[in-house]
Amino acid sequence: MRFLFITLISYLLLIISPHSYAKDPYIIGLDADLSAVAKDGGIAIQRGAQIAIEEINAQGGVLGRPLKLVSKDHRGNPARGKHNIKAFAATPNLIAILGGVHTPVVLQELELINQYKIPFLIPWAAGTPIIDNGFEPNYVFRLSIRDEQAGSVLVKEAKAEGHQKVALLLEQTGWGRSNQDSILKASLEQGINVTHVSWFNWRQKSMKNELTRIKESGATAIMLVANAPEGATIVKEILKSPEFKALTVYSHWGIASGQFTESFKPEELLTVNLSVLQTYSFITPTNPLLNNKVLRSYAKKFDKSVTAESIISAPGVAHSYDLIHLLAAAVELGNSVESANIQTSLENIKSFKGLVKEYKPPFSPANHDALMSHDYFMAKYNESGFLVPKTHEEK
Amino acid sequence: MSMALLVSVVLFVSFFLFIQDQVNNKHRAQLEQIEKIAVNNIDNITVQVENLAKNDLIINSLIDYEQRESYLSVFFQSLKITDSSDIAIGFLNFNAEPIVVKNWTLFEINSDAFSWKPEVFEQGKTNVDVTKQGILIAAPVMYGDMAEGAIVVYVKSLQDVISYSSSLGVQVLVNDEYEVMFSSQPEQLPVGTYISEKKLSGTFSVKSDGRWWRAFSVESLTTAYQDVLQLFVMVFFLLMVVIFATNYSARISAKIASQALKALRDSISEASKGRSPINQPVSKREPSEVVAIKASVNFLLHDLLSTSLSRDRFESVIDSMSEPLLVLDHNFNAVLQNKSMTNFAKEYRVSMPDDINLIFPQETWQDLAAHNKVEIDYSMYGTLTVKPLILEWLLNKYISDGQEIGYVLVASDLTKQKDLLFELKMKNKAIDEASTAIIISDMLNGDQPIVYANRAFFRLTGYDSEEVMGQNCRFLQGPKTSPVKVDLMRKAISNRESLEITLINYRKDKTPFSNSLTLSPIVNDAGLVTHYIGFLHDVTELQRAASYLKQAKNKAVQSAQMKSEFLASMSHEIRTPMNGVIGTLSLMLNEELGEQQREYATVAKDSAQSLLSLINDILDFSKIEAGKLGIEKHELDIESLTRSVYRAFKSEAEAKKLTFNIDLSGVKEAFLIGDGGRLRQVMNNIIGNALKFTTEGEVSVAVETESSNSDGIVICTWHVTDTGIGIKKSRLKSIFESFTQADSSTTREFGGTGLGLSISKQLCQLMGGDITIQSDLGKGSTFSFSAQLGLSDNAHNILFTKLEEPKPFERVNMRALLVEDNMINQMVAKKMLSESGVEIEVAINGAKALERLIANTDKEFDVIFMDCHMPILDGYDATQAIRNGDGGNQYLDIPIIAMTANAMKGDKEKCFAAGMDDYMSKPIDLSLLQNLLTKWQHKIKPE
Repeated sequence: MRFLFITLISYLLLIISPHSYAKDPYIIGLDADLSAVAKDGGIAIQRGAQIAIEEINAQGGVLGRPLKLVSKDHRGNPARGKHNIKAFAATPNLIAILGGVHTPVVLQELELINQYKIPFLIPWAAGTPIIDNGFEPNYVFRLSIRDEQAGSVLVKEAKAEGHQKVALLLEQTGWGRSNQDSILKASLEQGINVTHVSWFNWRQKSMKNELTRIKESGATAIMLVANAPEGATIVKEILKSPEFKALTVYSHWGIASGQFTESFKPEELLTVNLSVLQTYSFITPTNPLLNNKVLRSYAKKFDKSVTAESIISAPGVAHSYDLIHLLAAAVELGNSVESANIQTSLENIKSFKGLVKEYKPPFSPANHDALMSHDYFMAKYNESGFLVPKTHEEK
Repeated sequence: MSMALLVSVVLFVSFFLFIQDQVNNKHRAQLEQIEKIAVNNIDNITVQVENLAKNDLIINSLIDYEQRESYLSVFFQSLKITDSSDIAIGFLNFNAEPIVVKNWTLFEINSDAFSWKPEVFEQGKTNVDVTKQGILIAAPVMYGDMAEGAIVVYVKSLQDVISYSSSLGVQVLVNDEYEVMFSSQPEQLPVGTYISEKKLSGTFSVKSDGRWWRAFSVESLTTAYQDVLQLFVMVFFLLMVVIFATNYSARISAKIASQALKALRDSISEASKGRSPINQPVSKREPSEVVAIKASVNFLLHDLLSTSLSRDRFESVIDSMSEPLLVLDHNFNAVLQNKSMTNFAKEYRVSMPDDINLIFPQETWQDLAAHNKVEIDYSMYGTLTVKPLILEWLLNKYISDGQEIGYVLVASDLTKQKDLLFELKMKNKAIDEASTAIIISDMLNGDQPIVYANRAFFRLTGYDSEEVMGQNCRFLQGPKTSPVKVDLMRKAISNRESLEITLINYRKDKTPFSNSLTLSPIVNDAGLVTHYIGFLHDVTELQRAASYLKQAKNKAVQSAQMKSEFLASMSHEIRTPMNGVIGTLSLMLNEELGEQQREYATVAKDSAQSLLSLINDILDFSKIEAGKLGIEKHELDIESLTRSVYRAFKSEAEAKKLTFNIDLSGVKEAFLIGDGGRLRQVMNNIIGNALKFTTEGEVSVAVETESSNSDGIVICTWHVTDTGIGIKKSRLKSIFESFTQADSSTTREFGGTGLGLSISKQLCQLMGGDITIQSDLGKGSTFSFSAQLGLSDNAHNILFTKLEEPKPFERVNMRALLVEDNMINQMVAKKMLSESGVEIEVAINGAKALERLIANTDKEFDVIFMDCHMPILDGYDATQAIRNGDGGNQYLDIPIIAMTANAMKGDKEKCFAAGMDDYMSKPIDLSLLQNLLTKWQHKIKPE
């Protein structure tokens, strides 16, 4: 039902768009968690894509045809994801798929992507194997955190804040596992002691045991790799005990992808030493003009009251915005919507002025990840419950 | 019986229904049970499936593709949902494609039978399907609000899920098409069987709807109802017993009840006929209700009787009155009268209204009208009768419906009452005016007050009525009143006895008087003493007289006593010298004497003898007066005795030329017991008198004996008839008085003391007889004297015979000791004894006698003649001493003969008591002495 609805809406949007052509639009498929645990992220991606598509269409589309976004909801379920990819593959005029949130879903979709040879653009999924997937040619292009890079940032931050002993609290998925590798590696490199590694399951209700073991292990900081529900559970558990509150939590961006802050009173969050890995904040834009333009479009399309601070899952929005523009650019560059062409063209873009940053280049044949560790930063929740970059003030 | 049958049918039906219900319930219970078990089991599986679907690991594994392979399949392979092997377990993804499965082919074969996907994946709800094809339980694996996957469990057969053992019949669970999905007895009803109506016919089946099925519990009719049959038989039997028992007891109680009721009915009909109130319970078995009914009917009858009296009943009531009842109307017509009135009318020949004036004389009307009653004494008016008749009439109004329509008159007959009253008045007057003082005390109230005192009492005591009435009579007592007597009185009164007592009472003026009081209790009909009557006599004078007399009597007794003592001593003192005189004179006359000497001696002796006789008479008289004369008892021959006296007087009679006869023909019993001496004395007196007072004619003596009523008593009567001077009739009585003779001149003419007859009379009286006289003055007299004599059985009386025959005396040969203090007596006795052949030694008193006896151990004496009155040791004591052996052992049994001047009553006994063997009185009579000697000679030396 929902798919139908979304499809209909998208179709209507396309019809009533001022620049609707007689020609059939090119379809960009969106496969994201639009209703489940990471729906904030999913919606953010969708919205970013939609703003970008609107702008492109306002410019005449690509190759004279408009772009259209078709969204599918994988609900975080890899099975669904796969199902969606299959469905997209059968969709005519599909030029690329925008996917993400979560890494596990994306990982399961990789086979099909490779099979169908569809350009797979990832605005939000950090699992390293997503890009390092072993497929040649690699149709997967990411503008997101790469776990491999994430680990070192988290560890660096921890070390910078004086923690010698850290514990890992990871979700029992591919994502969790990929982070384990990177954090351990980073810890080793940076001379930090990983005292304990704890795993948890999705929807796990109690994290007490894990936290206890972490505390007992002597760690003073937690490297958290969790999505919003589990993150909330963990932080709730931490809030219950002063013992746990002593622990500093350095979290991957997963918890910001969904209903996290809603579980707490803003003042509660402030009592926890929690910092979250982020890539972009509208508060500290790289390109202020573009930043504001996007904000305005966002406000007009989606939420009148939106602010740079309050925009939900800012990275998602920004990443997908940039990815769509990059795609369009690639199509224009290659003058083709053929998958192979798009793939090559993406690799060949020399430079691009995106929202997140100015990419020089975004991708290369050797590197399909557009963002690296130097692009990441830690953010903290403010009294309003919004993430703000933890830059100068906290240091 | 039909009742029983009906009852049993009803019972059977109800029992059958009951059993049916029971069986039904049992089956139902089983169905419930099986339902519970089945549902439980399925729910159990469902829960397991749901739990599994909720498991984090499962949820996680949906996301975590890579790693899940490693644990999921292992986990699922190890999963055991039920014990069955025919079970498929699958973990499916969102489009029902298996992720991990176990035994999945089993499910895939049958998967078409189930539509579960929409419910599970779209609605996110657990789906449970139970069909013929098996059980499918599918639970969604929820991630957020949507089902991202499902856990599916498929069991091929319901049979595998339910383990149930039925206790009764077969339980099956069937689907909508009535095909068996589960059977508790698969052999009987296998799975897949179609349960049709046909199949259920001939069975007992219960149906119920279950969660996913219909349930049947089936049992063959026979097994279902076999209990019924068994029970039925038992119940039927019991029922029969009960029916019979109740029938029987019902009949019995019906019988009792009907009997009781019949009795009751009879009683009621009896009672209603007016015969009697209903009788009380006939038997104990009469039900209490019947008794109650009887009581009620009794009450009813009683009420009927009392409230609705019919005329004849009314009449019987009034007829039961003894008083005449007369109801008159205003015209004096008799409206109603009772039987008594009718009788009255008949008796006095009156009828109303004509004779109204006869019954109610005019004079009485005023009283009657004024006081509603009047007392009429008909003898006054002479109307009805001349006999005494007094009636009191009471008048009442005769009222009917509030109207006074006549008079009701009732008469009480006061006649008798009046009579009694008059008699009472009379008697009261008698008592009141009696000379004896009478008081009546009330014993029941208070202090036993005096309720009546007559005039004599007031006269006697000096009190008046107010002072006496209500007081207890103890006010009569005073200081000299003997407390003992008072106590006796009190005791008698408290015991409600009568009493006669004399005690000192006091008059009002405090003067004492001797009151002879008689107390008499009055007892009422109940036996209770209500009053005491006291009769008071002033016996002061009497008492005085009595005490005076007593004193006099005492004096007299005293004097008599003195007299007899005097006599006793006198007797001895007088006799002793007399003895001497007569004795010596007798001795002298035995000597050779000259004519003149003999004449003088004879005259002297006769004078002395006369004097002695006189003295004897006087002594006898005094003895009799003093009561000291004793009547002896010894063997008598009346004929001999009388002849002896006759012979003694014969010469005197011949001298006077009188015919002297003796007639002993009247003697039936000659041998008697009595006092011969006294009889002789009387005979001497009477015959002597007869001869003395007869100058010519004859004197005859006749004796007769008569047995009296008492045993062994013979009344002997002598009749001495003479033709003498006779006795004046007026002197007949006084002739026996002392010192009188028939004529004061008799003494002068005939001599004599005048004591003779008096003594004789007294002697006869002492002997139980008397003397009577028949006399004609100048013609002659017959003196009859009698005595009561004992009957002797000893006809052979040697002494007596001896006394009779003038056998010449033979001299005896004895040695005797004579103990006698008086010289004269000594001399006389010695002379007499030695003349009779006795060798005499003399001791002057008892002591000397003892000395003499004990001097020798030889028996020197054969007999002792002992005087009684001696100084130092008198005869009695001496005798006793000898008997004790103080005279020596040889003399222990020596005959001791008393010689004493005492001839008083008791002297003889005294001698014998002392130990003497015989007795002789002084002065000594020679012939008597000789007889005695002869007797003892024989005793000492029997021949």
